[in-house]
Amino acid sequence: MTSLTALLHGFEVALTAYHIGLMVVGVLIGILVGVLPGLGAPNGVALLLPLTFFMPPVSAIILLSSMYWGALLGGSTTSILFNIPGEPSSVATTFDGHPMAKQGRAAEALALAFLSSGFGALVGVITITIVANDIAEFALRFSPAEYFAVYLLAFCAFIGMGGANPLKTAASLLVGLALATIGMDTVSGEMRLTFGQDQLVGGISFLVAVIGLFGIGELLATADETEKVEGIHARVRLAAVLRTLLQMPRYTLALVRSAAIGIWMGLTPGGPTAASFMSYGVARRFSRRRDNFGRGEPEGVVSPETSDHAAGVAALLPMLALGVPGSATAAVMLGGLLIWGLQPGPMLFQDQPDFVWGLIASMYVANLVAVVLVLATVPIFASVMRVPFGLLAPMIMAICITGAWMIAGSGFDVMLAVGFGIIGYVMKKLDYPIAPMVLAMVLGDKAEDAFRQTMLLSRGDLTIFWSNALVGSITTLALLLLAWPLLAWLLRGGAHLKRRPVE
Amino acid sequence: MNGPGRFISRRVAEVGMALAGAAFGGIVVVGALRHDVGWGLTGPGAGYFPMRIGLLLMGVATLLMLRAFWVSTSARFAQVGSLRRVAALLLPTAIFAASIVPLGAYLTMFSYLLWMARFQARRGWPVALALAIGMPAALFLLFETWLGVPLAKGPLEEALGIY
Repeated sequence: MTSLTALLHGFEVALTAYHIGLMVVGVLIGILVGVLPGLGAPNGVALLLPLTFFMPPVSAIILLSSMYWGALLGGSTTSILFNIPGEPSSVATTFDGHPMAKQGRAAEALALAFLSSGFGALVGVITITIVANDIAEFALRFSPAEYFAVYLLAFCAFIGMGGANPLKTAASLLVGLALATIGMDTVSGEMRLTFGQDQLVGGISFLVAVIGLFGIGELLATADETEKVEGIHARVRLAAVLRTLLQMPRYTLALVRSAAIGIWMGLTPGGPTAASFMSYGVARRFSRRRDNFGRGEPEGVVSPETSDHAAGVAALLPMLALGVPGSATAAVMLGGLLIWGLQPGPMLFQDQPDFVWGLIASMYVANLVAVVLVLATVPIFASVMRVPFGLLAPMIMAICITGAWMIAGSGFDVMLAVGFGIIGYVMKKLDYPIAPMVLAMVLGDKAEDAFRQTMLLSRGDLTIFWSNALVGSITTLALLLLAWPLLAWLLRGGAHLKRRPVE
Repeated sequence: MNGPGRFISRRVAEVGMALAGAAFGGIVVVGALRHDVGWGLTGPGAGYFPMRIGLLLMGVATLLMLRAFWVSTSARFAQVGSLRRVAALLLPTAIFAASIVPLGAYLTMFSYLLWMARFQARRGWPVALALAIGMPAALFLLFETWLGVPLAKGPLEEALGIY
């Protein structure tokens, strides 16, 4: 099946009234989740996941992915109007978006952000459409050794390119990997790290961790900051949107460059947050108006927004084709796939074409729906931010607690979510990235299985990871990425690198 | 841990976090040692992977600790006032979370929201009551009626016969 016929078939799946309805609902919930503090895309998806068990998988993934697009746009809205990034990946949008809004160009900034997001998403989906089958076919040749090398690449990419302190990223990853081993061992059936506690036999649900780390932790971190929320009223009129649309060609270079950065960071798991920062940095370095950056430069809005969405969309492809998510949200969706009984990987493309191509086709439609809806509803959602945090926080806490209960109806899970919340708060305060921990919790078991199978094949010989060109180059690339922070540090003569926190 | 300006220094927090990471790594190693950490009948034993993860974590945490001592900083981790705000949100939430199994989700959520809105956010009774009644009611309609998924039930729900 060629990509085009597959895509057309996907549109047949995606373009039913039910699925378009799900997209609209998903996008609206997503914008709300993106706007509200303490509710971001990863834990929004985690909270909604238990509700999708009653749906066919393709409908469930359309709902969840639409929510993701909505959340990305909602996050940009609060970045621009309130200088509060609703999502970690929209932090870079505050640098120029909020100054623009303060200069009375809020509508222009919002329209620019949404249109660039739409462009980034579109380029991302087109790329996915073109390369999906090739990557899936490529992945069919993978043996356990290649799989382990790919997982290693994902982990090392976070350490080397994630943008946070490499040691802290490594610590976060290792804690996630350790948490993933808790419970029954899939190979020997032994109980690991349970220390006799019955509640730990089933392992620790990554959904509980996501709700705690991203939801409760984020709320505690927000309560920590005093600064009063001062928003800027904005209405986006159709005329302003059209005017901005006509200006877009001016930013062609920034758009194309940012989309390329975003797609690269989404495919090689660096995530949307790192992508948006990198894109902003590159734009500032190469722009002719670089002195204007940080003072309301439109290119400073276009660049991170384009990358953010291109990365968000592209991150779903490695999730589907290799089982390696490119972002925290994709990691939660991967967990969803496993719960729905789907095995991510190249076989998914052969066994479940409806699911894969329905999702890809839905991304074209849902992103369009998302941009239109967010333009139309900005004033409504911005007004949510005027509800005092003192009222908003307990409401969102109640949702998180209820969400933790919904996962398995277990009181232990609820307490665990609160515990993860405290950990998430401290991690956030000390610039420990959270996304690697979630990624490691989802991938830990799979990585360990792949490693043990490989070791069984090679009888404990580690050189199997260089036994052919494919696995050898992936492993070498992974180790290079791991060593990259050290190399870069040495190249700069040991000067301290300026680091920024990620997710 | 309070310094002269009534705050916790960033360095203390960094070292504490690194220590916690190292301790967790240690627990993982101890747990792994109860299993086969070498070669078993089916390849690497159950403890093989966790033990190495635990050791790596201890190593990384040690480096982080050294770094915290080495890098000079006078930055603050948190001021006492902001920690108080965090505690004012965290403690009621933890009590709420701990009591939904014995007392059921609805009564506890009502009390939690009422406390937070009336006494923490200092809103008037009408707003506080509307929130405390409206939110559990909305969740009841969403989960129990529409989706058919039960929330935690306690003695009150049992007495009222809501199932």
